[in-house]
Order: sequence, then structure tokens, then C-alpha cells
Amino acid sequence: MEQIFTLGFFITLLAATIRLSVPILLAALGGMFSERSGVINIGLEGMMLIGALFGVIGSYVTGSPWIGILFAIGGGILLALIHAYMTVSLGVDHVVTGIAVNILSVGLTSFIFRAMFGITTTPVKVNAFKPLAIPGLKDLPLIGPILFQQNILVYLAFLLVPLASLILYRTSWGLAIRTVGEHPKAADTVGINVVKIRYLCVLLSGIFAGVAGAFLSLGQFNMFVDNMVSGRGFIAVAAVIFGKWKPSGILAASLIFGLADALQIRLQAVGTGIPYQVFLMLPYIVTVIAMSGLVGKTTAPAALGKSYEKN
Amino acid sequence: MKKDLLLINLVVPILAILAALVLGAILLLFINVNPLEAYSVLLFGNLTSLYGISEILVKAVPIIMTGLAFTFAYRTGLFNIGAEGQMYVGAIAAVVVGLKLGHLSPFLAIPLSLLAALIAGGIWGGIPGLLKAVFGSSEIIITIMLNYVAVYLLSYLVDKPLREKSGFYPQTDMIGENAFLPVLIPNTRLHLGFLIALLFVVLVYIILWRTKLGFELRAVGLNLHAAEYAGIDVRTKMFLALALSGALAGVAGFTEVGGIHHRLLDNFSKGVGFDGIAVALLGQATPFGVVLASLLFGLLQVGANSMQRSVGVPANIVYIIQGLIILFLLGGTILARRYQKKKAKGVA
Repeated sequence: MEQIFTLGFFITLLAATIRLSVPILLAALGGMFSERSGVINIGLEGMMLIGALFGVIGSYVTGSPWIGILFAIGGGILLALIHAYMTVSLGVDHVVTGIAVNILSVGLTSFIFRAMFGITTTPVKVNAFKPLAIPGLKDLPLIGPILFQQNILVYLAFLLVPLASLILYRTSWGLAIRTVGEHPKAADTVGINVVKIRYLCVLLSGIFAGVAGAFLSLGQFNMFVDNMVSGRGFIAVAAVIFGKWKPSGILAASLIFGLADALQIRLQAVGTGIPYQVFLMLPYIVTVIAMSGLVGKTTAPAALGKSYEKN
Repeated sequence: MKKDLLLINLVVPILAILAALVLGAILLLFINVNPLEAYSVLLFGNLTSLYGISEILVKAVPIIMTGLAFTFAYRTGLFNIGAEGQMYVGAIAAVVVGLKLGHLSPFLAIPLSLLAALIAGGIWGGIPGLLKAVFGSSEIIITIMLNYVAVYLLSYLVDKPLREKSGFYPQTDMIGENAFLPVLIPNTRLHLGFLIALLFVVLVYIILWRTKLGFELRAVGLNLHAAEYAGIDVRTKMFLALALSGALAGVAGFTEVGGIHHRLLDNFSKGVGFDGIAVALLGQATPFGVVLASLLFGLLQVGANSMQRSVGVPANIVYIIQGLIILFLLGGTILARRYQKKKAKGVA
């Protein structure tokens, strides 16, 4: 055991933690905007899945992973539009709609994948994002290999945290979003368009979740497999709650889930005698523990999950 | 009034199914398949033979159980998204009993494996129920997370401690033959599990609509605060609802093991837990509606496999159709209500 816990082990572990927290962080930041405006979005899982597939298709067709990201955003927006129309315009239960979006996404992605690449599915090779070491910073001891030898999406994802914070707390948009989520009627009275704000926030969550999915297929696994998101979208929903609907809290939550994921991969490899399946369970068990008792109930936006009908 | 209910409960679901099929047909045109040819196989291909019909029923059995599971919690105002995992642990328990006690008389072996599945599923549903009652944790997230835990638990069990004696495949040995669910019609796979599922349909109806417990559960689902004010112990009811919901889903594992596979395999279900959610919504969260919707989903899924074989259409198109049915149904119900309100206003 002692040989396992060397400095090198910790450096690769933390580098992997940073990388693996990104898809959860991205999806959760988007989910935060949706929930802050009052719309529960458990369709994040499905939006990530379609992002993962569309990312691969975009990169396959054009050869550019950046175009892949654009495709992924398109896919995320498509499902987010459905979610927004159902919840905001029609007032259907948010959770039920999210479930339907997820079912639709599982069908759409596996169907489109087979229709494009054949029923016997061998992984399709596509151009993916490569690590981009930042000159100067990459050579810093410890911090360099952990933080500054990642792919570009990792840097962008972490830059989005302060940006999201800025938008939410320091702009009139952010104020409008928070007001709509806390007290839609009051927002309406002061001339804020509740429907428009909620649509935009749900679409934003679709965009972020789409990119999060493309990160999985173009920045991590470099291929598409059925159901490859495997619960990360749901973990992102948990991260929003665990992070108390705040960008900084969500960052912390995503890093915890990323650590659980990174740890399980490494522990599987070193051969501890413990069945590898136990490690595979780790991120999900960590989520269960995080959701049990560690969360205060009072912090949720007051109008979360409630539809608003203008009289 | 009666006509209004008919619109919501019958016309809207039928229109939702038709609309989903039309969109599916457009997808088929995109991949250069004649929708009429494909749909004749999908919808009618298996209705012309006794074997085809029996396969539809076989497919519907576990979906009925997971549909009942979702319905039970949903009526209490809770979302059990964990039927998949609860079904897995139910299957594990049923197989363990089948392996150890499968030599006993069928009159013992079968009820005992059913009981084991009920208990295991009940525990797996009871955990989120307990966390909900004690900490107020989101049962949605916890039930989903426990799905993945169950998948890896099953994977571990068939990989190591329960692996077959020859050790070749990651699966258990066959359970004792006396624990097999008897086949109802010779030369088909239709097994006793179908009747057991129908029994649970009646049972769920009786519990929810004919007992005090059911009344209290539904009261919690209709208005939590009013129920609390009326003196109902809301937390205990929530725990009970999720535990019983899990037990129902556990039975799906029992029917699949006892009736079809006769052993435990890795990943033996392909989303039956999620099909259950869809059929419960389509069936308006009523036991009888769940049966009808499960038969439809059984028909679609068996038909989709035939369609893949004969026309070469990826069978997964059925999940697109299922997702669309739910979306159209949910949206359509709201639109129909708005239409009724408008009409009522116009009359007055």
C-alpha cells in the first residue's frame, strides 16, 4: 500500500480529479441557471447524452472538434426547447418532463448512431481535444502538472465559474433570474418577462449540458457509446443542490464528485484486493451521502418546480 | 362532465400515440425505409400468431410491475426513478433462493423466491424512503443513484461469489427447476409471472383505493400540508410508499429470473425500470391503465425486434416513439384541459 501513495500518485489523481469534474461542473452550472429561474431540470442527463453524440458527429463530419462542440450545443438546445416549452409554456410537471426528455434522448442517440454508423457498432474514431499545456505555468512544481496540462475545455469550464457568479450576482440579468426563481409574481409586477427569463435559463442549461456531453466524447473517451453519460447528468443535478445553487458551491461539489471518480479509476488499477465494482459504485454512493443530511433544505429557490401562470 | 373525462383519459392518449408514430415515420423516411412496410411489422407482425402474442405478454410482465411501482410512489407524491435497481436486487434475491431452495416443492420454492424479491426490492426502495423521511433528501436523486449501485452489485455477484461452477461466463448456475415459473401455454414462453403480475395489479388497486392506508397515501400525494394537518404521519407514509414501491419493482426481477432467464446475468434488463415510468404516466397512474400501456409497450418492443430483423431498422427507434408518446401525452393533457376551460367559459 505504501508504494501506492507516492507524490506521483497524488499528482495524477488530482489532475484526473480536475478533468473528471469538468462534465459535472459544466452541466451543473447550466442546471443552476435553470433552477435559479425556477425550472427543475433532471433532463440534464439526456441533454449531455445528445451533446456527446452530436459532438462526435460534428467532429466526424468536419474533422474539427470545435464544430463538434457547436453540434453538441445544437443538440442540447433542441432538448432544452422541448423541456422549456413543456414546463414553462404548458406548465407540465418539471420532473416528469425531465424523465421524458431523458427517455427520448436515449432513443434518439442510439437510433441516430446506428443509422449513421451501422447496427454493429464499432467505436468511430474522431478528432478530439488534445492536452494544451500552458507555457510557463505548466512547469510549476505540483500545480503545473495538476492544473496546466489539461485540454482547453477544462480551462474554459473553470473560467465559467467566476463568470457565472458575476452574471448571477452582479448583473441585472442575474437579478432578474433570481427574482423570477424566488417570486415570479413580484418579478412580473416590476416588468420582468418571467416566461422569457425561464426559457433563456433552460436553454442555457441545454447549451452547458451539450458541451458537458461533448467533453465526455471529445475530451475524455474520444468516442460515443450508448448511455455513456451513465448518471453524470443526475450527479450534476445533485451537485446543484449540494452546492446550494451557488457557483462556488457547485465548483466544490463537482470537485468532490470528480475526486470520487478519479479515485475509483486509480484504485481499480492498483489491485487492492477489493472488487473493482465497489470502486465503480463510489461516485454514486458519495452522491447519496452528500444528499443525506449534509444539505440544508432552506436554500432552494422559493418558486422552484412551480409553474407560473399570468392572470 | 363524463365526456370531458373521456377526452383526457382516452382521446388524448390515443392521439399522443398516433402523433408519436407519425414522427417516427418521418424518421424512417430519413433513413430511406418505407414507414408502412416497417410499421406493418412493428404493429401487426406479432399479432398473427399465438407465439407472437405470447411474446408480447412476456415482455409486458416486468413492465407491469415497474409501472405499478412508479404508480404507487407517484400516488403518494413521490418519484421512484429507481425501479431498475430495485428490480435487480429483487432478481438477486430470487436467484439466491432459487439456487439454495430450488429443490424444494414448487409450492415452497416459488413463493419463497417471490417473498425474497419483495423484501430485497423493499429494502432497496426503503433506503431512499428512510433518507427522505429522516433528512428530506431528494428521493429522485437517491433512487437514481441506487440504480447504478445495484448494477455494480449484480456485476460483482455474477463475477465472483455467485459465478457459475464452470466459471466460464459471468453468470450464475441455473436455479433449481422447481423454482422455475411454470409455462402457461405449451410451446410459448408465457409463464406464471403474467398471472402474478395481474394479481399485483388488483392488489395495488385494493391497497390504494380500498384501504385506510391507501387513502392516507393518496392524501399525502394530493396535498402534503393538508394531510399533515389532518393528523397523518406524513414521514412514515413516505417511507412506506417508497418501500412498497420498491417491493413491487423487486417482483419484476423475480418474474424475469423465474420465468425467463432461470439464472442471473449481467445487465439482463434493458431499461425495464424506465419503461415502467412511461407506462405509469401513459396509464394515468392507475393499475388498469398500467396494464394497457404495458401491453402496448410490449407490442412495440417485440415488434421493434422483428422490424430490425426483417426491415433492418435499428430497434432503438422504439425508445424514441416511447419518449414522444409521453411528451405528447403530457402536453396534450394540458392543452385539452385548457380547451375545456375555454369552452366552459364560452358557454357561461
